[in-house]
Amino acid sequence: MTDAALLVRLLADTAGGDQRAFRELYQATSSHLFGVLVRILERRDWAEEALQDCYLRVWQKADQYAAEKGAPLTWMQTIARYRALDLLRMKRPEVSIPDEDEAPPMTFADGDALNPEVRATEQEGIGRLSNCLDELAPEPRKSVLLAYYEGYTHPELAVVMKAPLGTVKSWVRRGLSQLRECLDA
Amino acid sequence: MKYDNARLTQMLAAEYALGTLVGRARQRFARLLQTRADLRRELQFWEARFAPLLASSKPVPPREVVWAEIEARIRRSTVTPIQPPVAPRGLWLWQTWAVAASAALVALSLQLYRYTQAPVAIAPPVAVAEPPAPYVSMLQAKGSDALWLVSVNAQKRDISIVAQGDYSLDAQRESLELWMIGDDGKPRSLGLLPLHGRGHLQMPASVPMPAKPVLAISREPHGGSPTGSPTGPVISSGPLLSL
Repeated sequence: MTDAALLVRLLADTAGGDQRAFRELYQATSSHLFGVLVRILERRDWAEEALQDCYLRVWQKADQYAAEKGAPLTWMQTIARYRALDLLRMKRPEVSIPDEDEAPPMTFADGDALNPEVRATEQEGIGRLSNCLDELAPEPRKSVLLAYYEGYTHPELAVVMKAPLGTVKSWVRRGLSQLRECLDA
Repeated sequence: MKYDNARLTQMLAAEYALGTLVGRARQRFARLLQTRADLRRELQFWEARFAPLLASSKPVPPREVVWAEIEARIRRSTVTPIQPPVAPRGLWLWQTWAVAASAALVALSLQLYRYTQAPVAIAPPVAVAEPPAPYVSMLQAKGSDALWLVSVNAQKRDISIVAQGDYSLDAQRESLELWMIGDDGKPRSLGLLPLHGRGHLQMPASVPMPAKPVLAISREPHGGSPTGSPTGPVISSGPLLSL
């Protein structure tokens, strides 16, 4: 795992225009950002395009990183995640949702794309979030995790969860507000 | 104002972080984030709480060629060819703006060029299919550090925009609109410009790609010019250069 202090230094040097530091930063972090992008975008070509965008942004905005924004890798992965969501909304019209029984075209993600709960709970160190997720009813939990992991919108969730749009929206809302209460406690 | 309802803003921040807030609602919230510290805090709450899920994603090494592309894009964005301003005949106003804007462009590219001065071991170029040369323009707002990098893919008619710095504007009341000044000197709307971050615009089919394209940004009422032509002050303009 990458050393946060080293990344903080590399980000600071990158902010000063040091291309060598930027390259080192890329080498240390790109597979972690690419992992996030691949998981959400599911297509290597889109993920590569998004990865370029992310690092261009990091190059331009490295000076905006601050400790209160979390660990440097988390900050960069958050940039990647938002970029992936934007790209997904732009490139994937809401109609072309991969069928639940069918692998999406050109996919190279693991076969458990629709089983985010397994992935979330398998991981160690999730602790509190995982406990709070466990307290949710199955539908709100699955809705929140699918939205987070797969980048699904409400209408996409409605298709995947085979439920009316309004129901899905309230699952997401209920899931989030219960999570907030639990995480706040 | 409904954004003052605490429960609602909590939910908006949560749905923004989750990604289920989409489209215009998402853009509106992103704009509000610029001015509302309470919303930023709320968003940071969610980003931090969701972060363990991010950390759980399996690292996947990207192909070597991606780094080469990133380096190329950085070089392209830092060493900008300096050309005399290309202005359409007829509208002296646009011409003046173009000159002012390209002076800013020169100043900026010199500044950015310094970044590339340090010799860096650069990976040998990897053969990549050459995409059609895009057009680029750097538009800097007068009297502000706000800057827009606009690139236009004339074939796909895709305009991508990266906004940097802060342009102060009451986003509830006003918008910035991007215009293409044609060879006939007439401005045609390309759409509304993002104040922050990145955005894409589709170049309308009704806007031809001029031989000597010039872009301009005007300040308009919220939602854009009601008349189809610029009605407010032009805050920046400059030539769109082919790379």
